[in-house]
Amino acid sequence: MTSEQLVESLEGASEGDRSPDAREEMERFFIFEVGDSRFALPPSDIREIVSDLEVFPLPACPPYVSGLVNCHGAPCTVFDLKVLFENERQSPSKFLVLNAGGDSVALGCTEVVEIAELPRSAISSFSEKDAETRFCSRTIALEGRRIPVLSIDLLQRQLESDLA
Amino acid sequence: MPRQLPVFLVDLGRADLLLAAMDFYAAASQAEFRLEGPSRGGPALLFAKGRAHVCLALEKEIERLFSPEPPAEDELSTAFLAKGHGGARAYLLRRRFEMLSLPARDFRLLPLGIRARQASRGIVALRFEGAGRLQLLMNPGLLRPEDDQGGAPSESS
Repeated sequence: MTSEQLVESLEGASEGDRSPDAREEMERFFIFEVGDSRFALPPSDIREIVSDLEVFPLPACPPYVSGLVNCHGAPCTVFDLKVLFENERQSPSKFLVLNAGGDSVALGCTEVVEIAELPRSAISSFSEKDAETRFCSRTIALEGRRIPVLSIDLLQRQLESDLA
Repeated sequence: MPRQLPVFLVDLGRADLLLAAMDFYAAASQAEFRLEGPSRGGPALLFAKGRAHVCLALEKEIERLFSPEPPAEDELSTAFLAKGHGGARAYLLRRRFEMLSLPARDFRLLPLGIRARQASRGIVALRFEGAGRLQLLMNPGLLRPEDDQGGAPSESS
């Protein structure tokens, strides 16, 4: 078996594993921390939360991709939001494994805070240009703080653009 | 899919590089090949098994990927010989390696978002060895010898 044949058979096996990128009405938000910064995600974007995984560095990736984690035998690309937003590296204690279309992506985080249910009046949208530069589609107002709601799609687009 | 994948394993410290043995039709030790070049405008050529092969130094690709410790001075080179669509090629390795057989079911494709980029560096699949080690499978047929001019090692015989 050549490496080409192995890749073909692996590609065939993985076709059936891809779940549709389902997005739901967004009134509940999953809040988590990366260092001192808080972020939010629609709960439907999160497939699983896993702890204490080793991050394997991977060559030829942008700095905000800290490597791969082994999530039940499947490799997941790990985004380091601290590098993306503050240009500092973090040591994540937990990983949010995301529903990211056919891709396998995880975000490193330091703390899971809560799932908050908010009225629509507490949700603001970014302009399209601002959303792209901040990787956030909206912000939510919670306990006197503005918390950005991350867009997995924008994160993936940034990676795609950086690897092109 | 066959159950076992015979591979050459190169220990790079932080990770292992794997080469599928079936990607090559032969391997030649340093005593069995002759290296010429690179000449002006062309890549180095490696003569072995009665055939000229366009030569690519795997060492350079490995350094580009992992920045590992350089191989010891007394390491012997091995040329892995392939006959692909691009003609006969020789992939020259200065490091020690071992051959073993690994379960094919343990290999995984890379996550979709980084798959094409890694493939451009020859990395096509991976395997987690136990809890703490990453093994990357390289298909050197995806690497371009024309990018490697001047990269051949100096120990031509």
